[in-house]
Amino acid sequence: MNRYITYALIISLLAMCQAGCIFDPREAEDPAGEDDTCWIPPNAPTDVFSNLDCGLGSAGNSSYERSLDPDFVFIPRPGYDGPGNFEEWDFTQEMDFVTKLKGDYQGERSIRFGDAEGRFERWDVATSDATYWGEYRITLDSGTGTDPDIFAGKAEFHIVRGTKGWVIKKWEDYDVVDSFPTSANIRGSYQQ
Amino acid sequence: MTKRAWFAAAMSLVLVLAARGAGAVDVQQEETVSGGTATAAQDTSNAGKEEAADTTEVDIFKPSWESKMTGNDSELKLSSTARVQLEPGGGWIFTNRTNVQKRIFRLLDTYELTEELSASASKFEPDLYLFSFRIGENYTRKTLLGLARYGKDLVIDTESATFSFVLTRPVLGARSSQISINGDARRGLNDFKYDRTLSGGTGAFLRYGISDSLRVSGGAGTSRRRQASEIGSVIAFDGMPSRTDTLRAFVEYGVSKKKPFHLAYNWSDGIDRKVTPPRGNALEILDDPEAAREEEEHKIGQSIDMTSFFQPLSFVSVDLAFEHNNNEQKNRVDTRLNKKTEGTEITAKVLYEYAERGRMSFTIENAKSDVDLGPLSLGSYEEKDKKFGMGIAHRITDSLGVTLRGSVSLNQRFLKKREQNPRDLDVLYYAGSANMTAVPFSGVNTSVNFTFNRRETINIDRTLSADNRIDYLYQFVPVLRLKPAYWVTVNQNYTLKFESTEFVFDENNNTLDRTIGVETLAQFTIRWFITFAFRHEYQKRDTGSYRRRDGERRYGRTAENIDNDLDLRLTYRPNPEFAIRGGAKFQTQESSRLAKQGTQTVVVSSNTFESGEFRVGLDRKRNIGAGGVFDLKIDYVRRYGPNVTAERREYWIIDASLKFAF
Repeated sequence: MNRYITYALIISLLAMCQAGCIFDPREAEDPAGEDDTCWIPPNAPTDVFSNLDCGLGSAGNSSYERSLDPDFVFIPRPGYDGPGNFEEWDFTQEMDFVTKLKGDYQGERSIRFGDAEGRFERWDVATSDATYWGEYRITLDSGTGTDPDIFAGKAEFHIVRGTKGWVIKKWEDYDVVDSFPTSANIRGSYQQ
Repeated sequence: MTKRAWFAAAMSLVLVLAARGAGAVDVQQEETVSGGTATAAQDTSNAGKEEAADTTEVDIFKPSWESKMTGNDSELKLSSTARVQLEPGGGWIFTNRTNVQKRIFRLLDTYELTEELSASASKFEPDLYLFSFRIGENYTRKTLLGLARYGKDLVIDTESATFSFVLTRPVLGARSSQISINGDARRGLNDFKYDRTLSGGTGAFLRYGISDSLRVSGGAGTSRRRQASEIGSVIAFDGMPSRTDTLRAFVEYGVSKKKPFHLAYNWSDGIDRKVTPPRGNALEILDDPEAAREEEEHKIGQSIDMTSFFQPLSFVSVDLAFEHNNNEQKNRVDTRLNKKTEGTEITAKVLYEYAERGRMSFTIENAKSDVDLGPLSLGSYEEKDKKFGMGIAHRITDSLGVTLRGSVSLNQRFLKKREQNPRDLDVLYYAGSANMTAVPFSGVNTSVNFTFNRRETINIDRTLSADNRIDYLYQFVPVLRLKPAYWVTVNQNYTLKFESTEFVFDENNNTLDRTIGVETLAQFTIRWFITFAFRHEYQKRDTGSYRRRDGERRYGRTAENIDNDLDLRLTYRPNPEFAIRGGAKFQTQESSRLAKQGTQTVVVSSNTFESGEFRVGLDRKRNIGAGGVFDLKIDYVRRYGPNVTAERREYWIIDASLKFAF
């Protein structure tokens, strides 16, 4: 009896894995133009900031996605009382947020890490991890002719070195800049 | 410390000292005073999460006080908690709690002060009712650099009074039931606004046992809230009513832990009205109080879950699960938060014990969801998920076992406004792993693990398909664990890992990361009170890519990293309550950037980084009298590296507490 059940299960499995089975994805169209990715191999911690900026600005998600650690977390600033629940904000939530954001803001998008000159308030770099504290500024243009939305604040960026280079593991807001809403306000607005 | 904090600390001390004079009475006296309710007092003590005294005496007063200090490179936290509990008998418990806590963030020039005072009374009559009443005050003050620019710290200062009554005696023929009524009144400052809130609710939950194997239960509840908010002395929002109604129902059949049939239904409908700043950004209110708006958030949701477990044969079991939910949120002011979601998920799992030492499992999952983000958003979509997984676990002998796992999944996203937002996406994912564990000789454990992952990202539209890519992972990890003598343990892990990303429509756009690693861990017990641990990790990683040159596809390396980490730790622990620890960590990294010159790969630039730390520490625990405990863990850390902030270059890690239970 056992033998027949084993055979039946293995045959069912093989049948499911044949070409044309339920795991058959759609065919992609040929690309219309050049790939707009501006990803650079992250051989230094600061390369991650460049990849996140270009990842948000480009149409595709590969640069942004490859800059996140699989255990990425986002933590809003102390006292944050805006939209969103950030207790379990992880890699999946971050990528979902970026995808939805790109759909609604189809104009220019950018993140500036550091102050206007790209300087951080302080930084701590070891061989396998690095932490930067300082300003960031996210500029999002909807492409409809209205003024771009700006989200800014101060955050701690914890970057670690994995086997595929440096990636960001934690983005923790700790303060505001002027009266701009922080990144938690825009992340929370797009949370499903 | 603020006046309020001093008051709280003084009040705690007075309460503790006042209670200290109160003696304990023996059980006989307790029974005389309270009319033989020692058991009830014991039960309520458990209900209050206090440990019941396992002696012949029962304390009427239970005062306690605890002071804590924790600190590390980023923050220092100080707290003091005084608690006095009075159990006069008759099921009554009176509790007074005072807590003061201050957190100082060393790196951010920021602090947070929290004070909490509360007094509560509760009475528990087993199988009849539970009554509780609480009055309290919470005060939190956070100073942030940016907020301080406005001359306003973040302050939350509220006073509240709450009561609840739960009738636990079964009613209406139910096997068990709970009928509750609760109320809450509070007022206080919540950052930018002063709120006055009155709320109350009632609910009932009944469980019926139709037979030993069929149980039906259900309940409903409703709550109402009315809130008035003021911003400054000019802007006021009065009488903002909110409500929430809920309904739950369960049907369960079976006596075993896993039921042949379980059905659960939940429904809720609520309207929440409150004052909110634009986009939830309170800073804009501090700038311009007139920007505040009364938001109305209407949420409706329902879900149905059904699970089933059955065993058609003694060696085959089947788990089935079905889940459906739909939720809707409508906001009157911030319409960007509007959304409507609906999801259905079906999972089937078959477990088949094909032999005494082996079992197979098969899992099939199928899910579908619909996310509608309103008419203004371009991001609404439908999603389909399919997954198939299988696993085999077989023990060939007592000392040799094999585990195989494999899965394939397909996630497909269909955008509803594909013309304006062409982000249709398919993700096809394959995963496989094989693991073998063996104990060839006594004191020798070995394992070998192989992992394979393939993730294909397929953007359907031509505007995004240039980003289509396939990520591969191959990993091979043999592990050897040796324990040749009772005083020594040696582990060695080897890692061979290949990770690549290949863009589908551009064969020159790809990366390949190759990692070779060896980790050695050893622990020696030199004497029973001295242990020495050693860890060394070597990792060599290179990055490169394939390029087509002269009609031939060739691999070229672009970077190489070699890491060595050494970790040494020595512990002297002559008894469980005392230890001295010391350790050192050394890390070196050699990073090189490479380039092709003719047919040779040459080093363009090279850097060597070094970082690490030295650490010495002490653990001490000591009992003070009958009810006091002093617990201290302290470490001094000195770090070095390419760039270390002053706060992290040299710091103390402290975890100390002093606790008295009188």
